[in-house]
Amino acid sequence: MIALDFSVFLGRFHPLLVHLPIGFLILALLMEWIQNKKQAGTWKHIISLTWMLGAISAIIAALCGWLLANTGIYPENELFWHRWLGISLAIIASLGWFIKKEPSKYKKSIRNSISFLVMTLLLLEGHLGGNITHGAGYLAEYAPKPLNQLFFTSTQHNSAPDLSQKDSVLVFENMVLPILESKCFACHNDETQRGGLNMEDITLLFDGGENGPIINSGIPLESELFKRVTLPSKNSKFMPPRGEPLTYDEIQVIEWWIDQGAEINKLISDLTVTEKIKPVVKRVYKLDLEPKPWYETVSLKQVDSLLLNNLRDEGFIIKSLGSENSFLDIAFTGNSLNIEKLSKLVDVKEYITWLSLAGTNVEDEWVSVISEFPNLTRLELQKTSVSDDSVQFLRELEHLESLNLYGTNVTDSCLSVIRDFPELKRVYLWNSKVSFDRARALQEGNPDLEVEIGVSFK
Amino acid sequence: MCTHHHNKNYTRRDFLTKTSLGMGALSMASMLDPMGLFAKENKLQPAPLLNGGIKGIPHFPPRVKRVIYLFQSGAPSQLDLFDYKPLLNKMNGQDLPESIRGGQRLTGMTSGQASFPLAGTLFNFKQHGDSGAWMSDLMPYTSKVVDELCFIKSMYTEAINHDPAITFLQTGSQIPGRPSIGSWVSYGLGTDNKNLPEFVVLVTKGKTGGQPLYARLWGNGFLPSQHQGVQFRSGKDPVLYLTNPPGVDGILRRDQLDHLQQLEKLNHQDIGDPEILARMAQYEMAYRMQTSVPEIMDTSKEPEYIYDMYGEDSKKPGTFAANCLLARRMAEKDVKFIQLYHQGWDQHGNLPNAIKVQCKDTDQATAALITDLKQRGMLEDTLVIWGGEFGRTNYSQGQLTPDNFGRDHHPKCFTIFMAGAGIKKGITLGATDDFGYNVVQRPVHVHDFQATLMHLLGVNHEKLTFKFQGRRFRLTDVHGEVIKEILA
Repeated sequence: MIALDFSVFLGRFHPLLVHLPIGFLILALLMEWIQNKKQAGTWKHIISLTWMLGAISAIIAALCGWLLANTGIYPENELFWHRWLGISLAIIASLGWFIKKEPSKYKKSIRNSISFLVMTLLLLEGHLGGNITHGAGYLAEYAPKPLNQLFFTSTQHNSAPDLSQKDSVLVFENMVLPILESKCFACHNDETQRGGLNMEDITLLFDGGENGPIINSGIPLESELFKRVTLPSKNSKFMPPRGEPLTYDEIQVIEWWIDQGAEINKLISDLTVTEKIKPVVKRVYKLDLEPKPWYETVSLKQVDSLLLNNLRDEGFIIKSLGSENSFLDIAFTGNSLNIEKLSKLVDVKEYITWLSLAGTNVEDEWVSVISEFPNLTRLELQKTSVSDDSVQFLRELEHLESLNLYGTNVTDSCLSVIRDFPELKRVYLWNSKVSFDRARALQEGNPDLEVEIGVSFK
Repeated sequence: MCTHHHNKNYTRRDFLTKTSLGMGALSMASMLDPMGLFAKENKLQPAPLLNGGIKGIPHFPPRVKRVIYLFQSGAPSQLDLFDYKPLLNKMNGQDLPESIRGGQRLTGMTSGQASFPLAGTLFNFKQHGDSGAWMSDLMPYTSKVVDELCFIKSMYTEAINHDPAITFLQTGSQIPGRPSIGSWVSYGLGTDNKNLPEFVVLVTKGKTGGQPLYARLWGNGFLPSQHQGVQFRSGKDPVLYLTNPPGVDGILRRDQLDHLQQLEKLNHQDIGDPEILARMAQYEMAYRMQTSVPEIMDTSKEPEYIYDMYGEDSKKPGTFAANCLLARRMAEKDVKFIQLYHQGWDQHGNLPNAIKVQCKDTDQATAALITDLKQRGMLEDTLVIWGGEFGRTNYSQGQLTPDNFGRDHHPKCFTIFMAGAGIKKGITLGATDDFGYNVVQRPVHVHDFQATLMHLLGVNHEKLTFKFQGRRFRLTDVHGEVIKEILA
């Protein structure tokens, strides 16, 4: 163990020492170039000395690198080229030193190709080392966008799939697996199984590693998979040991998946969506699990503003629901409404989602116009003279969520129609001709429908 | 000195400096965001719309179309009304442990006090409704509507005195000069009823107490002045100087305004001062209010059972109950922001007796307002808020006797409640420790509350800004997180 510790100690000098050969060798190449330009032969010795220093430091750096690689915290697949290119560099640098001691003995072409080879290896090897330490894509991450697109293929692909429907998202395959793939597979795959764990194969993933299973279905806090990624990052058991740790969102996803039984073939809609996971799913997968009103689930193209101005001239108050939402909130106040005016709304019928004719002179027959508004979700007819006939017309409105009929002439016989609205959630019947008891009965028979009959003061 | 220059919109020098700056900015902007140059709208200087709002607002579908804010000025004692802390009764008279106070600064009123004896409430607490919300016996009517309410028990603020604290809640800054919430709403969303102001203020009459209110709490700050709150008073003249002077009738007034309008238009073309437009808008509003205000203030046609519901006070103009009834009538007429103020909660001494009077003034009418809005289907798109500017201490200010004590200002926790559109009902958010001194769960800062309020109105609080003195200001300054947990 002590021997190992000492080799780790030496190994960790690698990132420090690698800068020496880089510096020495580049200096040597620069001096050669300047010497050629100036046609001066006086730098021969110093150049040969620099080559020597470069070669020796390259050998030492390579040795330390070898020791560091053996500590096992670097995935072998990333390491392969760095390891062997490093060793080649040390060898070629030594060769260069040998040649440059007596440069006149060798052909110019040999000398030049050695220099060129060393330079190329330095660049490649340095970049590979940097990638291992800082992660691939580190260098170009903040390059200006056009530059990035031109020279670097973006490695920062957000692996979030665009999943628009919650009943089509497989929790394990679409949410958990990509996390394991990016953060765990490097050391726990079919080739390498650190700690005896292979996560690439689903059965083996559940079998666990040397210390037994890593997933305890239903209990995240007793699952090694969850514990290891949430340890303090300095802890020797923290996973992943290097590279980027799991993000908050990724940890939440894993915790939720284990908590829900760590099942393989379940859809989001099969599991209990907790309050904690909702914002995560929304952030990472752009999937909003909050129930939404109808007008936020459909999108329409912008309405013609000329049409709206015409309607405003007729006395309608028209507001848009938002800069990104084309649905309209339309109201009319006063007693100057007539069927002609109301019929003009048909021009924008699919845009109307809230409509208020409260306190107007609207009549039962006119309401048939309203029944043509397919996306209507909120209708206010309170304090008008409408009666059960109006409610009959409205039964076509399959997205109606709220219907205000307080202070109207509707009676108990409209309740059977009201009960059958597919999406109706709230109905206001206070001060109408509906009896208190029948409204109560409707409420009790339909827990999903809020029936407001008001305070019985009369 | 050239005296004629200030009459012109632009001088030659202005033109040169401004256009060259503009070209620089243009090229800079196109470098940073090449496509932005061709965007259709100028995002920085949104143009006002016909109804007075700002283009692009609401940013998303609003849950709330109007707000009734029942401001309880002076800071009601959360420990005697909502935040039940039996430990205080158990430790009644013992000193507040320093570990709990944690060096919290004190007001000048108790900083000289030798001890801080914990004061348990003298009122009974019970759980109410299906939601099981704790309420003291002081509010029997509100206790009946708890299932409609959303309590936030973990509010905290930064100020410890009334003026800065109210200013902070109403404007987002402790220092006077910023626009009030209602003014921001009026500026951003415009009007739904051209005959009434978007922002109306009703102050309970005869409750001044030790803490005055001042018109700047509903002031427009640096926003155009037609967005300031208009105070409606009880009595013959609800809005001061609204009626025509003797000998001037409506036709003459209209004529006068039309000519004034023409003159002011010329004036505006010359000087370009936006306040000229604001003043003209206010003249026109005043003219329209000559008919709309008497109509809305005349509650004589309200049926008797409505008066019964709001309580006997509701027939006395200027009381909190009468103002609640007016608030409902204004909400029905689509006034966007209705702000009530009820003073007298500042109970540094004699709290147990004084708080009874306050609750009797407000309890029934608050509950009635919520019930009344509900049965009219107006909780569908109206938000009611009840709360003060900070909380009160868990220790007694002055002597603690078996039946009397006082409580000092306490900014570290207080309770507010809301009811209505867009928020969950029958829930309680956040909690304080057993001493009722510190927040231990889900702290809610004043800016968070303001951000949530704007969110419910369909406004992204970070995007509603106004450029003033070279900086873009907003209600929540650079803070504020929407309280997602309470959104329905």
